[in-house]
Amino acid sequence: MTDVAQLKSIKLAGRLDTSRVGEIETGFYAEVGFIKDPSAIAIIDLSEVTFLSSLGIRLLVTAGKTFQQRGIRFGLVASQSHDVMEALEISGITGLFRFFENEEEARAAF
Amino acid sequence: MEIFLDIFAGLGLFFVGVKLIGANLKQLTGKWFRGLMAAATESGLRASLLGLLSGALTQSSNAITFISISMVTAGLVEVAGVIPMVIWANVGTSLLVLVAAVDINLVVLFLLGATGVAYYFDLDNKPRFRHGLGAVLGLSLLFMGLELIKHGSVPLRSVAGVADFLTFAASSYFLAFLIGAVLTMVAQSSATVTIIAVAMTNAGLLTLDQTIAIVIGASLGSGLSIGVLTANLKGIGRQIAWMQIGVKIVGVAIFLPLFVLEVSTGLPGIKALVTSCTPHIATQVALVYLFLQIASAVITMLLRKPVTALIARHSPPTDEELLSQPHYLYDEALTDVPSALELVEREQARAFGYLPNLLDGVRADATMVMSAQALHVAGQSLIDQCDAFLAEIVDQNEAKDMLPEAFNLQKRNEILSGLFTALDDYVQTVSRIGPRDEDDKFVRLIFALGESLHTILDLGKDAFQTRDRDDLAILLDFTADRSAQMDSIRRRAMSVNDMSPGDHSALYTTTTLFERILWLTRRYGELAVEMVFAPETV
Repeated sequence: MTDVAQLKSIKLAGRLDTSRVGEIETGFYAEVGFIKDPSAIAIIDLSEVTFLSSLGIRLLVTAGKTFQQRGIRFGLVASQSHDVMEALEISGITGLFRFFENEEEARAAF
Repeated sequence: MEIFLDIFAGLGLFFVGVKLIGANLKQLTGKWFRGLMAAATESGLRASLLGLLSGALTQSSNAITFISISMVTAGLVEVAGVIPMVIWANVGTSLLVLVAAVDINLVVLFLLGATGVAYYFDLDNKPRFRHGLGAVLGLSLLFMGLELIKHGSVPLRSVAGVADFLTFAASSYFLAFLIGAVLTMVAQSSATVTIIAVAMTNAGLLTLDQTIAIVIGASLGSGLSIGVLTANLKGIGRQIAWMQIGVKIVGVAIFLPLFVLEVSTGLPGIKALVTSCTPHIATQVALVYLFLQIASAVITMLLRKPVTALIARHSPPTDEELLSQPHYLYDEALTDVPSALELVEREQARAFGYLPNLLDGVRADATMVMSAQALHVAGQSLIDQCDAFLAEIVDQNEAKDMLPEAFNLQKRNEILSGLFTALDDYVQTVSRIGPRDEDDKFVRLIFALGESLHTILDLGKDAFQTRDRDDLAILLDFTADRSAQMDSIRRRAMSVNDMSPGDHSALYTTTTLFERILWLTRRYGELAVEMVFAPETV
């Protein structure tokens, strides 16, 4: 997790399939749990994610819900994979998260 | 030739009669019988009496076996509760055999005439009389058929070849036993075969010894036919079928050695018993049938507890059966309407929870644990049970203040049923696409649709189980109208040149079904929100 000013970024990478999500979810939720300051900007960086399964999307939804409940501004850095972006759009998660090209764009937007 | 046609026509009338009686009595007793069954199976004695009654009414122990299987599979009654009923239904089937042994020709002619007059005056069009009249017509035709068989059988003895065959058959009880077994497997009813045998014995075509062998053989045939009919059953269904087969085997195991001993040594046995009861040969045969059923029922009843435990160990409930059984619905809850409604909502949420797993077979990232078909059957079974439970709630006077909530749950039930159907269609459409290279653009799009659909249904599953405000709000957000998005996907796909017409069609169907599933999930979510956010409701 990088911490520059108010921006807290959690980076995910590779294939987020069922087994990978099983491996990372405890660490991921711990990182989400550490972000408690309502003035923070939480960013989940998906730029290096190449596949997103249903469980991967659920991971993001749970994180988004937690940030929402804590009043934290949050967003996603878009993946470079067309398939990942298509899965996110079709799932409807675009209504929950704001999407950015990179962290700088996110910082400027908030 | 005329003799054979008499017998053939008699058999035809007899079979039409059996069908008419069964079909009409089932209509008369359907709802009433199911309610009675649920209440009766709480006590062994009541279940046994109901078995006697239902066996007498339907004249088919197979029918009672299958009704029991369906009710137990649906979770409405317990296996141990229906076992006495299944056992004593066999004894109930003796009623028609006993009646057939008595000469009631004049009564039958009167019944047939009276039924015809009732039909002429269109009484069959009145719902109150329709099925009763049908059952009486069936009974009349059945006995007319038996009269024709008797009429045709008398001169048959003098026909060349038949006499030789009868002499040959009389020399071998085993052959008569075999004929009884085979005919019962064809007719699917040992009572039917026995009644025909009674008619032929009455006509002097068969001896008492031959007919007893046929009756015992018929019992074996009945067990074998249940075995064949239920060969594909598993779990609880198989437990009940095995118990019924056990009843038949017990009867044969007791009566066959007794009969063989009696005819080979002259020691008094079953034949001596029935001849001491009555001099009338047809009644003697009917009594053999009755005693066989009673002996089988009594012995099986005594052994039923260890046998039930044994078959339960060897045929445990299948996953589908376990999933079909309600976790929250029970009759006692009906007395408190708010609690009963709450339980329906929980059961519906449980059924909704099956939906994400329906997709497992067609997702990119899932292992199929249970077939979509099994989940659909189990889910639909829960929906049907919720429907029946809701109907009982709405019928109560105490429910009038909570009718909006009850109707809300009824609507959700309909939506849930629609969701199972739509997901089934979705899975079938995607399954037809067949194996492809994972880099194929079309396949990747289908995978994305599948993963997204799974996410949304999984969100729904959690939201309806927890009834958390935020989860419900997120679900409504995720299930907003997607027609523009799906149109865009379809248009993009149309511009791809290497997509086959079959792929275009599959994409159109999957995106349309995707939209429908989302719409139904949203509608279900809106109804859930109405109840959760209304403070005075359950």
